Amino acid sequence: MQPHASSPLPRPPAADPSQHLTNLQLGAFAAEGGPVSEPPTAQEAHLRSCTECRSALAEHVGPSRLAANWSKIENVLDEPSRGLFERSAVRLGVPEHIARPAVASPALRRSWLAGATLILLLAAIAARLTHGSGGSSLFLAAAPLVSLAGVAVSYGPAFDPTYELTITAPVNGFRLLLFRTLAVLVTSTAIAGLSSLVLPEQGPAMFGWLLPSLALDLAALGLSTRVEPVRAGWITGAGWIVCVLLTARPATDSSLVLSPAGQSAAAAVAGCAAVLLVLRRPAFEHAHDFREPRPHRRTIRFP
Amino acid sequence: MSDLGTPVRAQDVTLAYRGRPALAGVSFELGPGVTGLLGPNGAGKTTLLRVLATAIAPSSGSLSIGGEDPASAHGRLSIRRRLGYLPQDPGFHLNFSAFDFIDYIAILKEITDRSRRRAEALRVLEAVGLADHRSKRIKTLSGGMRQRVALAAAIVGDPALLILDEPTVGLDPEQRLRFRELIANLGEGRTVLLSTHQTEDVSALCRRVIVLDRGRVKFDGEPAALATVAQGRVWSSAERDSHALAGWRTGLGTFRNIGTPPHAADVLEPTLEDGYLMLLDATAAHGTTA
Repeated sequence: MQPHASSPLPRPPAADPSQHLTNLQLGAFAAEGGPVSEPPTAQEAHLRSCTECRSALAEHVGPSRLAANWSKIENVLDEPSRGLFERSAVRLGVPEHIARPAVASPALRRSWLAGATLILLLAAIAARLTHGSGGSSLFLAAAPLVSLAGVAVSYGPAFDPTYELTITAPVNGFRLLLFRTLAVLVTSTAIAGLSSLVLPEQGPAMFGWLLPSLALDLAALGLSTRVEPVRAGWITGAGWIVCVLLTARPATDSSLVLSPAGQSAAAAVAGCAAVLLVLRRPAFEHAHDFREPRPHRRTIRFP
Repeated sequence: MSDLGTPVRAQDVTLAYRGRPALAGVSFELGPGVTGLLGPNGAGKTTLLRVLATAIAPSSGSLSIGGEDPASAHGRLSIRRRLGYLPQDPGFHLNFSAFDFIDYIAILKEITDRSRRRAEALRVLEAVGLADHRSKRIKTLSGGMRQRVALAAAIVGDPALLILDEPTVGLDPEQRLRFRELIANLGEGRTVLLSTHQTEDVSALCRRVIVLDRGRVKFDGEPAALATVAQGRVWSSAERDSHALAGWRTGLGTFRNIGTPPHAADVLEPTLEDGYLMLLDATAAHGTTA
């Protein structure tokens, strides 16, 4: 046991391990604190084996120190449990009070991520196996849809169980929406990016889904200022599928979307949607449609 | 608590869902204390509470909460900072523990300092009697305990205005009693608006009651005054009385009837529930405001 340099009490003499500690020794031991020495001193060795002395030691520990220690223990016990994404975000420097609500999205649950990974991997494998027969278009269609679905379920009354509390809280709803979108976008982009490695194409074409993905997400958010987010997701997703079908070039197993003109169009859509979103951000200050109110019915029927 | 209750003033508030009026010119004023909001299903209670909680904006009319106008961004933020809201169907992240959930709500209420959040979470969980269950996951808690977690979430930050939408629904009598005690304590110095179907809750808790029906205020006054709506209109009889608008067999085996009593009927002292039933019947019969 190493005495503190600032300890006001002198180090007590070494005790015989077989003898109980005196009050003086217990008082000094309680006052010293600090790390337990290895090998243990004779006092420590005795305390480890003697219940009576440990009980007596408790009486020598001051209430303030006891309260401080207890508080430390409670702090550890009450530490909110953090998931992988929250831990990662905090490690990357995102403040805890931003990371926590940002990752509270169904699209960042393990089951969702596993499903998204499976879908994209299967699409990528299908593209590889059917190279030249339209498989690449399948992956091009699927990758942005996964991200879009994640964004659509991240905010709004349909999937956020605390939506009504969130919308009436002073926290900035629009900022929360952007953080969640960013978290989902980063995650789904990482999954789609890794799945792209399975694709037969190499080079920039492997990531031709990236700009459309961003455009779809922003378009869905922009549309969410008018309709419920899940509905906005459905509308945008349906539009995307139609677009992929119309621009597919089966002869070359490619799509116009992957051409420079297609990518420019996606960038333009993303830009316009971003502007629309910023202009209409006050729409996120109020709730999207709750359930349709029930028709006027009386619960009490008079005979 | 930021101030002694938050005065609420609503003037001709209307709200239409796809052309159908959910609120049709609602006007009232609230001050400190517990006010009950009664009304049948579909009367507009939840819609009104959502409007007051700034979740939805009214179609027309004016609202002032604590002197702030929720129509402006600044006013809304100011109101939300002093608001505690318990929705009708409070949702939870079920994998959170009770403590985690309150911590999460505290973040939404702008308590960014972790030690302050912890202290606040412990305070509100202690207030609802869940401090010892704080580590349990919400999915393992009973319905009554979840309702208490929701109430704890509502009182995070010690709000001056509390809006509670059917907080006692689904609670057993003992839990309801505990809730009443808690809400009564919260009502001291705060403005509390309590929506309920339970006239017993209003009798036990409220110094004032507002009855809403078909989006309109049908009654606004003291609970005792609501009971007097049925003064001289409640009587007992040995058999079901065909003159009665409503009648039910009591535990004593006699029938308690409401309506226009026959001559020489055994007229009873009306309760709040009698007055409420009578009021709604009058509304249904005449289709006009009281």
